[in-house]
Amino acid sequence: MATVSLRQGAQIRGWLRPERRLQLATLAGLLAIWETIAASGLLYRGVVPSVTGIVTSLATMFGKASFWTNLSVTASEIGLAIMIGGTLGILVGLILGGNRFLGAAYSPFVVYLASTPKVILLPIIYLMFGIGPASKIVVGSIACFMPMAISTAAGMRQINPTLIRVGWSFNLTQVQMIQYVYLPAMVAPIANGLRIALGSAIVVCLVAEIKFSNMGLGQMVIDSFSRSRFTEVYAALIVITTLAVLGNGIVDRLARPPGSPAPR
Amino acid sequence: MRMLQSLDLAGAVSTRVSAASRPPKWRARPWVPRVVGLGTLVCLLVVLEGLCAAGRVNPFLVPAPSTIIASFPMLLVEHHLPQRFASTIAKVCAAALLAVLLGGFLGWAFYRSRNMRLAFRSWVVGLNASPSILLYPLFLIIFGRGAGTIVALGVISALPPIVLKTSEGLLATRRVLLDVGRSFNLTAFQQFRLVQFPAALPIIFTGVRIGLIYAVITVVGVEYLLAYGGLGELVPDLADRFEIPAMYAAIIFVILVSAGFQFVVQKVERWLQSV
Amino acid sequence: MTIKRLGVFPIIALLIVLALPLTALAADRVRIGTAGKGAWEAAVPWLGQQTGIFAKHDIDVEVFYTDGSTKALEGVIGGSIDVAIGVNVANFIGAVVKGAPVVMICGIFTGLSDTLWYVRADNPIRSVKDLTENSTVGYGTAGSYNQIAGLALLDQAGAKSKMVAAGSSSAVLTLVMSGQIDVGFNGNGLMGVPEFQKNEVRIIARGDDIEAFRGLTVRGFVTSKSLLAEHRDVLLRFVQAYQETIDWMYKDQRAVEMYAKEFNLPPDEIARLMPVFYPKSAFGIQPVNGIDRSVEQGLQFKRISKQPTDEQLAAAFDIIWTPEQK
Repeated sequence: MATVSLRQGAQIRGWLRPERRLQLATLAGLLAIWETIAASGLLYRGVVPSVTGIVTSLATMFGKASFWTNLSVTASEIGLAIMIGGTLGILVGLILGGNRFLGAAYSPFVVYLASTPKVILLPIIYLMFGIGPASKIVVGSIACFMPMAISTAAGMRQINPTLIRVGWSFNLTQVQMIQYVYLPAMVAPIANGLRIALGSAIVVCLVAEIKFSNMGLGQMVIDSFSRSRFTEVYAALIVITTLAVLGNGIVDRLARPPGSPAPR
Repeated sequence: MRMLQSLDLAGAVSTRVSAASRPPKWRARPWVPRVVGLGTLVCLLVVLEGLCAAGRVNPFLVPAPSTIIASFPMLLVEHHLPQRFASTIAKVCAAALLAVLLGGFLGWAFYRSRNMRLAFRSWVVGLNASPSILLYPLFLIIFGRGAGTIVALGVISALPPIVLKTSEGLLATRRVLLDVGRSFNLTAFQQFRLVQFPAALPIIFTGVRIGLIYAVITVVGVEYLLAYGGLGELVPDLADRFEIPAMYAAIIFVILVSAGFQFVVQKVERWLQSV
Repeated sequence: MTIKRLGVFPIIALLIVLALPLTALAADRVRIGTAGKGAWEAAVPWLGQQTGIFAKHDIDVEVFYTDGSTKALEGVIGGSIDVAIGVNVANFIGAVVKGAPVVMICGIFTGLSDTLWYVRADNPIRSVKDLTENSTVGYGTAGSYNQIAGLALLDQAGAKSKMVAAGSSSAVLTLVMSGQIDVGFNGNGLMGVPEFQKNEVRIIARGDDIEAFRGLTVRGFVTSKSLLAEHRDVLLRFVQAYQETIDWMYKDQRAVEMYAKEFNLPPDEIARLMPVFYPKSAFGIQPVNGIDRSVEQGLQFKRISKQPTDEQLAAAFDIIWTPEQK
């Protein structure tokens, strides 16, 4: 007679939890609708391909060297954009958040520029920086700078004053204050800003690659689309989305104190 | 000696503390920093004008601010700036309205059903993180080259923050308010209408504000990618015609429009939070 | 995320940025920008590189495929591209009138023999006479030769149809086949296009039909004034190598085979159709003919904002070499 331990029982029950069943049922339903549309021939051929076609394309794509080259180009563009834009954003945010006068004078510019769609800058950035990775890094940095500056400034303004007084009581210099008091207290707001910056940089860099680039995942998507290779388009979109969600999840983890549960 | 030193330290700390708690001199005149900010901008523009006049910058890529301002009339008349502006705003409003209706309903559903919330919240968070604008070529084929495609993509990008904030707001209603409602024997619908929804409104509106920003970014982005009209098509069109001063003027116009939009929405949000 | 690690980030960023290859015209490296990836005309740099003809002239090319020739021209202005290939003459003059510091160093194609307009086979439109106000005609990108050619086609036929930007020839095909637009264009004579081979599309007009373009140099090479002044000898060798490649493409059967293999096209069809759509008399390094007519077209179709002065036109064209000069 097979026996099951309490923990195994709990794990099995975990998979049958109502929300899991709901997720699986919804997923199955969506897939069924998808396959029906794919097989119906209602839409232009191949624009909604069968799932097997997409999976095959995915597998083929991972085997191509060009995919990995494009992936590394895009990843390095976004990575550099985050580093440059993020660092500048944090610096400016520290200044604007730390000094009330400067904050009152210059924060509005940053806040209002942040709500502007960055794609509007792409034509001028292309004219100035050309077709290579430099233009994507520049526009990505601009897209990262805004949310990082805003969240850093906001974080500065809401640091617990007790922590600041403790720093003063140790007679720390301004640089030491930044290093030992301000920045550690702002890990959560900075990580939150980083999450927005990452999403913004991904969108803006990919759009730039679609419009003017020889390399990168964005260019790969539009190239496949213009040759009507729709399964490749979906495969590339799946990879891009998965990486974006993973990146978001990693930054989200950083924003939460260790050990705290995910928000419900 | 050490006692004296620690007394000194206490003095130093208390000086810094009292300095921090004393309101700065300009607080009585809040317009001072704003003037300084705008003044800095004006100074930078004057410096740029000077550099252009002296021939120190490439005049083709960085035109003088005076030529940019001078190109506004041409932008209004020849390039139909008001019509393009109206076209973009119309699409943004349509996307925002649909997103509020659909997102509000889904957010309420998340609030009512714990299972739905546990099952699909992570999916919505994932949708929020993914660059949904990349679906545009497929939407182009499936839905055609029109405003419908643009609005549909705008709705998809605006949906997640509205859904998440609506459910968060409704769930965060304080128990004491619900208890007061129950003590008045309110029905479930009255409870929702008179207690929960008003209490949740500030948080819900934050979601709407973020959704609006995403809708603007997506609508303008897809107009740019599809070259379909509105402000998103205007800027690259001007670049392709090498009308560089007019292109800068159009970019500035878009920035001012977004800023104005943001300003109004923030004022409404603050009013809601104070009420 | 400790503070020490945060401090390292800016330094790493700076190092990587500095390590990014800086762009400059190395002694013999030419960065080419061209649209129309996959067309016979756009395959010249690749073929010249593969066969070593460019290397023989001490030239190394790097090819950037842009979304339309206007983007290649903008790349020249911004300094990331050295020579933009296949820029429409009227569009180029439009840029000159606006003050762009660019110069056209030679023409490359006369007439429009390579361009066709087609509809999906089940579309009732049979010729340009059937085009109405509600018909939609696709073109590539703003400022491309196919935009002006499309406008000229409609003008000649007296049709008031709407022109729709679609991107590349292949993107236009997708839009036509999915029913989003009525008429598409193809800049490569529809060579090797499966839909054409299977009679799923029907040709309704040819570039040769348009009188305004007969004998007119439609496209040329554009570079920046500063580059021409500093590296005239390199550009001269580049243009000579380019012509030698074109000569080889029409003499040697291997050209068709290599081209067909690279772009997945049937070689016998290419061998048969290519001389029809790309006659050797039209395709090659040449002086720019019919500048006045190009200016007229540019003004009529609003690619040129105002009449260029004689000084502007004189400064805009500097024909670096023609095959007759040898």
